[in-house]
Amino acid sequence: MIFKSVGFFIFFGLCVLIFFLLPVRRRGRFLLLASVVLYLWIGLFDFALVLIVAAGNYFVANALGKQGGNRRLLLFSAVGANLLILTLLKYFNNLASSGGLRILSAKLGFHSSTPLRLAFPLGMSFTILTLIGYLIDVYRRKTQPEPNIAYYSTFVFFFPKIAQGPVERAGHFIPQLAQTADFDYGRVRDGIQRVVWGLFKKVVVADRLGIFVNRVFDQPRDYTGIVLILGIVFFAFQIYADFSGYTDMALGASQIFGIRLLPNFRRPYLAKSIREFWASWHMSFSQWLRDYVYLPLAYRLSSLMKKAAYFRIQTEKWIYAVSIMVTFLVCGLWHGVGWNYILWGGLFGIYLVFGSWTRKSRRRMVSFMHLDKFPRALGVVKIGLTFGFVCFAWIFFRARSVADGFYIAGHLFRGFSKVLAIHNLEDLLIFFRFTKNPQLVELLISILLVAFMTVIQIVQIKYPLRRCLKTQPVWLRWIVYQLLVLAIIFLGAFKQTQFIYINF
Amino acid sequence: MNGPARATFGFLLKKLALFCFLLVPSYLMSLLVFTSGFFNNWIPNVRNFTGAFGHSLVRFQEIHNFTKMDILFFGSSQVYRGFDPRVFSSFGLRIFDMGSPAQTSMNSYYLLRKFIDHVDPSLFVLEVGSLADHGGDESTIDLISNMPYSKDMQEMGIQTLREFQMRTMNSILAAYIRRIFVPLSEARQRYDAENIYISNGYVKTCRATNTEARLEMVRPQVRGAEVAYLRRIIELVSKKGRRLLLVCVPISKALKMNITNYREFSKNVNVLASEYHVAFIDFNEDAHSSKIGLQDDVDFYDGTHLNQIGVEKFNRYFIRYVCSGTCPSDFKK
Repeated sequence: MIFKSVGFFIFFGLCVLIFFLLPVRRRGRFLLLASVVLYLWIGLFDFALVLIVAAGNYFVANALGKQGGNRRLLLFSAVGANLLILTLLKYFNNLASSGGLRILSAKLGFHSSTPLRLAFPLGMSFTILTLIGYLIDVYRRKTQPEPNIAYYSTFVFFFPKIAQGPVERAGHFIPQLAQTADFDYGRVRDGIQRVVWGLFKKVVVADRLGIFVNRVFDQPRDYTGIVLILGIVFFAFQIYADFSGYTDMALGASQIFGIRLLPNFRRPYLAKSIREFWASWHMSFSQWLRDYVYLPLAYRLSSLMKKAAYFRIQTEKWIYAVSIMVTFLVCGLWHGVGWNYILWGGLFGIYLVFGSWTRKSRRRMVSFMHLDKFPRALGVVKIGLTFGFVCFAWIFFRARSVADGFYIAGHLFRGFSKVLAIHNLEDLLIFFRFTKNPQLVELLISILLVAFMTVIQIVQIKYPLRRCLKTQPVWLRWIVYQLLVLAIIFLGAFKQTQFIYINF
Repeated sequence: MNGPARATFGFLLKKLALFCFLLVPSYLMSLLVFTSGFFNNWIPNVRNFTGAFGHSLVRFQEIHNFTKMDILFFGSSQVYRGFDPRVFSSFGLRIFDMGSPAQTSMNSYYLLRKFIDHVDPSLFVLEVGSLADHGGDESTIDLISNMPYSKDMQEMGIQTLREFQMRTMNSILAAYIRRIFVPLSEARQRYDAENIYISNGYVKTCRATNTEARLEMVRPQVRGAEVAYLRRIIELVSKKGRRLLLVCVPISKALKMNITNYREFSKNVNVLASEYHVAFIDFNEDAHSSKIGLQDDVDFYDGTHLNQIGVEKFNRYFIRYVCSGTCPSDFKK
């Protein structure tokens, strides 16, 4: 089931219609029913597995909410079990196809020409993150365990967020279920706008950029220089449009039902530092990492380590470095099996540690060069540098192997002399390994889409577009809506491609 | 829902309905704008194939002048770029290429259904290399854009749209809307220096060298629906008491090597052909290709298409093989 498919939108439309036709008291239960139906539509195995995990966590959370007993041991066991399930499901296929396990299974007497494969249940890793967060919050007494099984189940299964989050918090989500709002024209209208905008980002921006990106990253050794750079920049916008597009659709859909999900993005490519980038990229996940990995680890280390200088560096800095590195390695590992994800996470860890350790010296350098007298120019340079570093990390995230990643990184600034040899369209087609004019059109459209997204991001800083649109006359608003729908119809790439983060 | 909420809910539904109602003229206008003038073929999800370089417009105008012929070819661009009527005519044979860009069995079936009572060839030749390609949407757009409205073409359009594709739907609709303003009889064939329409459906390419970039390994899967249409073609031809030959037109050796399941594909077509007692000749088999003597860099202009030198070599071999005593006995003339 594809979340941008016609089938999904028909299902969603029917849900909205039935939701508002039902009496208010029954709407919460209907949301649960709709979510279960959708999960069953996706697959019985997916549903059964999530149901087992959810049921187990429900009982553990209730036990954690009680006084007495060894709560700490219970928490560690439950978190461990959740992680074990996640690891098994996520890495089973890789392990099963690896030589070691095959030899082991052969020794145990299992002979099969095809390795056993497990289908990873949709949204399982987001669900497990949500549930681990819930257990820890209950343990810390930040949240009460939810006694109402219907509310708890809706928190786990709520269909707009099942595939890719946001990683919700019980304290934020569940209270909203008790206050099911009646139909509100403005809220529903805003929700629909957000869904359409999300769909535009996915099918027009992300999937169209994906055509060029796939071409480059599937055969990176065919290219050097400018083509590789374009491929990386396009991928940066592709993944942003893809993921934030889904998030907008999830937030919009929830808003129609009167539920506000946690935001996930806040113009990440206009961040002036890597720290700022992570504060505005996949926010619900980065906050989860901060609350449940980074901070506990940092507190633990600070209680273990004496205040002193190791290799002339203060303990606090070491604690920060170790905690950040571990957090981002976990972040990389969560995204997938493979050294490229670990490298990607490690790179962000290194960026942040380096950024933190050199903060003072960078400030001194800025003031020495009198750059602080030109704050706007300095801001643009910072945005450019941050974007450059982020793009460099994206190379390893998208590359099919670490070797491909290193090839791309090593050939970014080579082959520029060939650009100078382009004199006509024919040369350009050969240069981009294009054989037909439509592919050149794809490239031009991709460049225009990246420019469009950049302009939208910049304008949004001062003039939030949806808020501005509300103040415009109705004819202008309707022209904008029509253009948006027509852009989806005429520019959208409707091939059966899923959302990128659905794989994680 | 309370009273005011119900009223606003109704208001929203009315507004949505009005929005959709207004969207229809905007959409139809956009179709016209995007398939004419500056925007023509610049918008990814709508294509104007009327008078395009597959030359279907002139081909299907010309077919009406033909009733008697020796061989009628169906298939993809490999057909209308691969069988030169001038070579056949030097052997005293009259042929017509009824190919269209990326034509699949589904397209061939509807074309055959439309023309089988109009033309009377001694032999139908169907190129089956496109079986494992795609759903025939490109050819559907091309045929609908360049042929007069007919029941067969309409049915073909509906069949293609069963696999919903935005581009196909937009392009088919655009073709019909354009026809309101410019009738097909007034439509003009576009010309370019590289593709020259000769006659009898044949398009000569002026590209001589194979400049295709490195080829990727592919493993195309034969679509069940395409095989079903192939069966329907065989049944239709035999019902009408005509003869049919299935062929695979030569592709470059490099491309053949990169199709990892080529042998399996060829074998499957052979099994199907044997089932219906229809002859199948794969000209990419070693036995044929060594005799034709085609070379990747001399006789092809890309992986799938022969250049004029290659066409002449292949056609002479084809005539000798199919129309002389070397071919399966039921094709002897």
